[in-house]
Amino acid sequence: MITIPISFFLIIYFVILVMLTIFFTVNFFHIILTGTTTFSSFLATLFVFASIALVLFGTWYFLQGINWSQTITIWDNSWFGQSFNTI
Amino acid sequence: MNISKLFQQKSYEKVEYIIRRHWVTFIPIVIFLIVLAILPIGVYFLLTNSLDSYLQNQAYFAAGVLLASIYYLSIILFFYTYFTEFHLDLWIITNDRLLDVQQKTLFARTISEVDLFQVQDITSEVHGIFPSIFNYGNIILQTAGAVPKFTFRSVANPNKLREVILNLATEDKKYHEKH
Repeated sequence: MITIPISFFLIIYFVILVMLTIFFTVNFFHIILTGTTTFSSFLATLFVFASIALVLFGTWYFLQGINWSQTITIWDNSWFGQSFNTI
Repeated sequence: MNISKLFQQKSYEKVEYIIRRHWVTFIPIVIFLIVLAILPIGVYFLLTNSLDSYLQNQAYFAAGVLLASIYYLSIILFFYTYFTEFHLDLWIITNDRLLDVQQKTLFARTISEVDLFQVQDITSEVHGIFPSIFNYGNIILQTAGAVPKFTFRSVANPNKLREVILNLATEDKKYHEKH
């Protein structure tokens, strides 16, 4: 039986978050460094950052009270009945 | 907007127009993203009705929240990337030349230019219901330059723009004939 703490999901989440942050930053600097800043690009950027803040806040809100040290079983031989029993 | 970072302006050169695709062409992707954003809400109601026991489990709930968070952040990133590409796709008309800046992907940009006096033929076209209602379409230029064909895609007021480019090209040809 293989079990992992659910904090493992949090680590994967933060890794993906870092990757997404890099791409968001690239997009932002594309607009800034090409000198194509307009009111519409300002509005779009504001909307994007507000949405990100909302999603992150929602994530934090729903994850309050989670016990990250508890474990989850990701593999158990008993799921497959007799198939993996040795003779 | 300071676009000097995109091209080197000559001393006598004046930027007449900076044109982007019509904002209506951005709407289909917005609708698509709204549909994608609503999907997890539907999935949540499905899960609460049929697999409620899984949602009661803290581990599965936490994994679901993190997955939904990544999903929504990816949608926002996709929107921002699409907007950046839409925003950086532009056509610049100066009194001397035409520039076509195409942001193909986030890390691929093509800039083509042609002198106005090399413009030989201009065609404007408006095809379809929405282009007719919102007055946007394509302008196709035949040139004598290295890039024989320039296309302004889904630009607003294509007929008026065609006349503007024609007038500017005529002026530039007269200038070059004199000098």
